Amino acid sequence: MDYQLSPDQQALNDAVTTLLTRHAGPARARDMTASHDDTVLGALVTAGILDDAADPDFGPLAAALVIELAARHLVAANVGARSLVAPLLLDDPPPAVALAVAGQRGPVRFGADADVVLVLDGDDVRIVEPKEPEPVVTGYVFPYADVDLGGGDVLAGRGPDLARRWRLAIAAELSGLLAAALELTVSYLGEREQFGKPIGALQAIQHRLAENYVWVNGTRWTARAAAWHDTDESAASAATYATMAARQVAADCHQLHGAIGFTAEYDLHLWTMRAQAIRTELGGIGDHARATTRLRWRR
Amino acid sequence: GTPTAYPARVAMVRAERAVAEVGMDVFGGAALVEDSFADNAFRDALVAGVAGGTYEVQRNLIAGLVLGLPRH
Repeated sequence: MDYQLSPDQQALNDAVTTLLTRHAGPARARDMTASHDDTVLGALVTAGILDDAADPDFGPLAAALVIELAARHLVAANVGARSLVAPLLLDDPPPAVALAVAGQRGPVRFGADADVVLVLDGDDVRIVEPKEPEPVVTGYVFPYADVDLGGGDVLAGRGPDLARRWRLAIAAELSGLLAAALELTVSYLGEREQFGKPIGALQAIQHRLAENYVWVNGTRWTARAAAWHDTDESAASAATYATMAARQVAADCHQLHGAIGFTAEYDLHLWTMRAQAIRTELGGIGDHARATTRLRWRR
Repeated sequence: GTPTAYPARVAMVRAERAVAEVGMDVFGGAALVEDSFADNAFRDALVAGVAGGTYEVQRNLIAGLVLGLPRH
């Protein structure tokens, strides 16, 4: 695998970065706390960026790169569901798509704002339109709602496709979130002085940041490689790694910041709390790991 | 006698974090609901390492006062 972005991929990256720098970012994310950002989603749809995964010249890796950027820029919309999952399962996907597992405990991310919810039901997928969703309050930045996940048209046998693409989306989203959280942490510690020098000059701190960097870098490349391969096993493996990284990196970034990291005025929580939310999706690390094992060794 | 407060504090923070981790992994989406057990455990665990003297300071004190290692 060639680890350089191709000229087309780089062009896509640059175009998305320009768009998101204008439409998204931490200030916008604060305004959009517990809300769905129809505006930025509309801009991405209009620019044709969310349908590249279905384009044979781009494929799911292009979508994964977009998801990474959207996560880094704190887009308050389910870019992953719309760009990776929906184009594979629906002929004409609507802009706002949510994902859920039949019988899941806990509310649906973007459940009240979705045009359609794709429900993983065993080996099948059901296409559910939310009727009277009930918003649920969480501290995890995204809007959540309880949605009746019954009924809907059945896409028989498409469950594994939904699970695979959802896992790729999870890995890509966590990749963007954790990278941004770590960068903020490194930047802060490089400047913040205690005992006469930057905290980041201390060897123990540097070692921790270096460990976290390895997690973040690993997440990025396993997510991208899995998107490129687009196999059930690589997707499960990438999601497992990403959730392992999320547990470690998000908590450590907070610990390294000390008290300031807990204040609402400081930006760190915008990324880390989103990472916490995503690590619980699709059964979390337990299900990703079990799936990886089953797929790898056919047990 | 040997100071026990610092190792006790570190052990307690580790325990809080372990519980919070299991809570997040086991409860899934239900862990996100405000004021749920797992949500509270997670927030407590985040703060536990900082409030009342950071985890790192406890480790410095263990190294210096319990293990008798020289100061940097």
